[in-house]
Amino acid sequence: MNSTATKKMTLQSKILFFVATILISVAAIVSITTLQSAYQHSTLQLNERFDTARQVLEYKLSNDHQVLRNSLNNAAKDFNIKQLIASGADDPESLRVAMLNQQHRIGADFTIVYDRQQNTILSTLDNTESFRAEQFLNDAIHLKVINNRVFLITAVGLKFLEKQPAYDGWILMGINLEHLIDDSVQVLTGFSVDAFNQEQHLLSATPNNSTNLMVLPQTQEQNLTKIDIDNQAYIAYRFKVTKDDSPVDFVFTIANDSAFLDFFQLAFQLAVEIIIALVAALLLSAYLSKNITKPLRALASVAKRIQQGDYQSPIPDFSTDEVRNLSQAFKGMQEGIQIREKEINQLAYYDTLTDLPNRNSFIRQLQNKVEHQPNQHFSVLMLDLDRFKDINDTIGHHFGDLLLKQIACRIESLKLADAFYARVGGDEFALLLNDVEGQEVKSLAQQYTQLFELPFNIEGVHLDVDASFGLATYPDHADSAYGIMQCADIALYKSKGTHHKVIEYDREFDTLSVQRLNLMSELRKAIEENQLKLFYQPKLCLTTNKVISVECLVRWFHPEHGFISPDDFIPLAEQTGAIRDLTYWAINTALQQHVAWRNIGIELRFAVNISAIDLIDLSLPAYVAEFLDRYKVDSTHLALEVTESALMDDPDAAIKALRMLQRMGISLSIDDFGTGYSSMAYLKQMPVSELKIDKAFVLELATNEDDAMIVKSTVDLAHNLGLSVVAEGVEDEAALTILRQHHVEYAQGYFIARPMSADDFQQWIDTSDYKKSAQG
Amino acid sequence: MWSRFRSLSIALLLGISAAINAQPLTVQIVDHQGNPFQGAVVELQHPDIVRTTELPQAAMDQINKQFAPYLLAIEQGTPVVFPNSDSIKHHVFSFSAAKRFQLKLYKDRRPEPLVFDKPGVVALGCNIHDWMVGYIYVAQSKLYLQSDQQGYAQFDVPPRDYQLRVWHPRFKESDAQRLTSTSSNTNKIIFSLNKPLHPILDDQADEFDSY
Repeated sequence: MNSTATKKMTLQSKILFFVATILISVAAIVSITTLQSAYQHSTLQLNERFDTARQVLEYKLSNDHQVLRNSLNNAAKDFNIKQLIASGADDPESLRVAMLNQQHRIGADFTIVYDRQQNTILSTLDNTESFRAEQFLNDAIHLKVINNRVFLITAVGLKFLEKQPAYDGWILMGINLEHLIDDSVQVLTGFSVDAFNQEQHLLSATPNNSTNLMVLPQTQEQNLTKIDIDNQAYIAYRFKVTKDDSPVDFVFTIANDSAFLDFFQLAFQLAVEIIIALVAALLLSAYLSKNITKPLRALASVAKRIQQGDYQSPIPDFSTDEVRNLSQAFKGMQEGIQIREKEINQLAYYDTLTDLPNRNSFIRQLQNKVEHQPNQHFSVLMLDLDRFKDINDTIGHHFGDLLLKQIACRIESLKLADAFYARVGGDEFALLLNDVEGQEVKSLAQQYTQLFELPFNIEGVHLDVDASFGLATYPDHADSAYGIMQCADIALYKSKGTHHKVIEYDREFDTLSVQRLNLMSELRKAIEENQLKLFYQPKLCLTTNKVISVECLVRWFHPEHGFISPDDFIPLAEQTGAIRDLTYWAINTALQQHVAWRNIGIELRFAVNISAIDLIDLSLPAYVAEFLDRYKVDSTHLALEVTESALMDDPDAAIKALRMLQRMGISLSIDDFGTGYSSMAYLKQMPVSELKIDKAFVLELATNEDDAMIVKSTVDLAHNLGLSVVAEGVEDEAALTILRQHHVEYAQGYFIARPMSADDFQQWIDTSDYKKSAQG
Repeated sequence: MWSRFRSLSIALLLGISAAINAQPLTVQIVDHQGNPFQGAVVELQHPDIVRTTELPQAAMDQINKQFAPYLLAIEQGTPVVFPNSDSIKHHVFSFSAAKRFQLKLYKDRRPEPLVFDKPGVVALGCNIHDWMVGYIYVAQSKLYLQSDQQGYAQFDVPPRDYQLRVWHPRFKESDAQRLTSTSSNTNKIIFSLNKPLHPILDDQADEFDSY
């Protein structure tokens, strides 16, 4: 029970497992795809943010550049500036101060003024870098690194007369990028900004306690790169300003955490939602599956109760259609089982013909009594109809059945001492007589014999029926139900022979019956353990005066009981079916003996007796053929003898079986002829070659004229049918002489020889006159 | 001082010889495409040319918010007066090396004439009207003409090996700076511009309209 429970999952856990599996897979797929796309989206967004920030920065620089340019343009158009520049060579100090003033106004960090020949006439830079104004004239953003500082540089041309075709000079100004890229850029873009001149760090616009990016990340431009600064993860984005041909690189950086903050938050949220959904779904499915399995469990316990034989327990009703159907089916099943069990009970414990309890029921009653009231005395009276078989055969089974019913009625009408009664066999009834202690049980039983004093009237036919009675008392005779039944049975059996009507059990009866009962179980053992022997009685051929065949007779020498007569065990063997083994054993042993004697020059035909049971055993011919073949014995050396009564029980079947054996070349004899009721019509058809006159007619052949008459006519009959004749029971010379006169072919009997063991026979034949000559 | 004295003596000599032997010298100005160019100043320079002593006053007027004439050629040392014929104020100035000056806003008042004693080009502007551009060509010598419609400047001068200078605001720098030598026996020189001209910057009307 436990092992199956652990191996097999319950339906509920199956449903839970199934739902959980689906949910977890769905959740996993959803989370993975969501997180993946969220991550991709987040990365994309970050990339876009960087791009946007780059554009913002460029826009700002471009704007700053434009502002500077406009300021320069204004300065270049200023009459006084023009005048100062025109006279710059003569009065450089005035120009210098004026330009510094301009530079301050504009917010630039240095100024260079060129004359029309592009010679520098003024520079506020400490060291005069040589660069030409022309390269800074266009609208593009120009960055230049001077002394580790990066400047946004713009230049404009200057004409003394605006409508002159050629320039009269140039003004160039540069603004340190540190003044342009400040915290506002970080606020605008959300990133820290660093600038590098190749590997050299130029400037940093970072919020408080932010990055300390001192090394240019080695990454492709405009690609995201993860970098570590002070053991913290950052995302960096490197780029150059559009159209700027300077080597200045800008790098945006942002802490990885803040870049992907939303992403992780989303992942966390998703996980929480999925877990909540999972728990909710599992609870729901647990609830649902419990609702499904609850009625199943209820029904299972009902089924268990039904199994234990409780058919009364109510079956719960359910609201679900399917389950209600199942529950109703259970109800129907329970009722059906109940009805059928009643029927089975009726069949098992009651006799259908008389409606009386049957043998089982009776024994159960006895067992109950013995078990529950072991100290209470009771008696069992067994009654059996005399010649019931004859009644059945003569007036038919229908009448027999009616008779049994009437007997049941009569028994029922006489209710003595709370008797319990049952029909325990075909024509056997048993009565349980309660509380018999101190009472005269036998006289009580005698009352039942009176039931058979009046004849029975069955459909107008008056029948006188006698019965035998056996009585046994508990606990005097036996202390068990079966024991008391057996005792009553033995008493009844005894009563059959004595016509004492009621015989009470006596221990003396035991020996016989117990032996009888044991014999059958011992017969098989006896065959195996060689307790059986074949004895051989010679048949004398009266024409040649030689012994040419023997009849094989079975003898049982029981180690305890000594010699057991075949008359005692053969009928029992026929009843139990053990006769088949016995016959096979006899044929086998006879053939072995035949071969043994043949080897020493004694050649005899062996006759073996077979029973009526053997005749209907279709495997006998095959068995015989196999043994003949095994011992290399010609079939003419084997004869089988069947009693007349066995043949006439079912002549048609017997004819069929005998024909098969005859075809095999085995000669067949009718044994004990004259004791049965042979039909001449059948006798004519019987494929037999020999007829054995029963010894009853031969024993007194010489003195009894009737017997002589019967023998003579029987011999004539046999000869007329083409059969040879064997006379059994020849015990004197006179009988033998008469038989010779009647031309009987063979004689068998004590006068010639008794049945002998193989050794004795061998000795006997060697010394006998009847011994066939070796060459014959 | 020394050069002035020497020029004076050369001019005396020239005056004599010119009187003796003058011959025509025709200079034609063509642009880089060979089209005759009108209005260019053509100056013949030679050390023997004597400076004019009593130079008459020249005028650069301002009419209809334009300098008139557009290009005024004068001999070195000529006083030029800048009248204002308009009814609005002008602020005339020049930052050219040949003459830096300014005449601050004036209208009815006629400023004192200015003497242009350095040869070269003086670009004139008006501080309050950017479109106003005018030029004064201060010639070294007195032998200068402006080319006519066919681009000719026809001189009648003593045969000398002159240095020929041709100038116009529309000339590119290289053409403007170019000095061409003539030989005494040539009487016709074609001065071809090597480079395309500056575009005509006469957009006064446009600018005015846009104000």
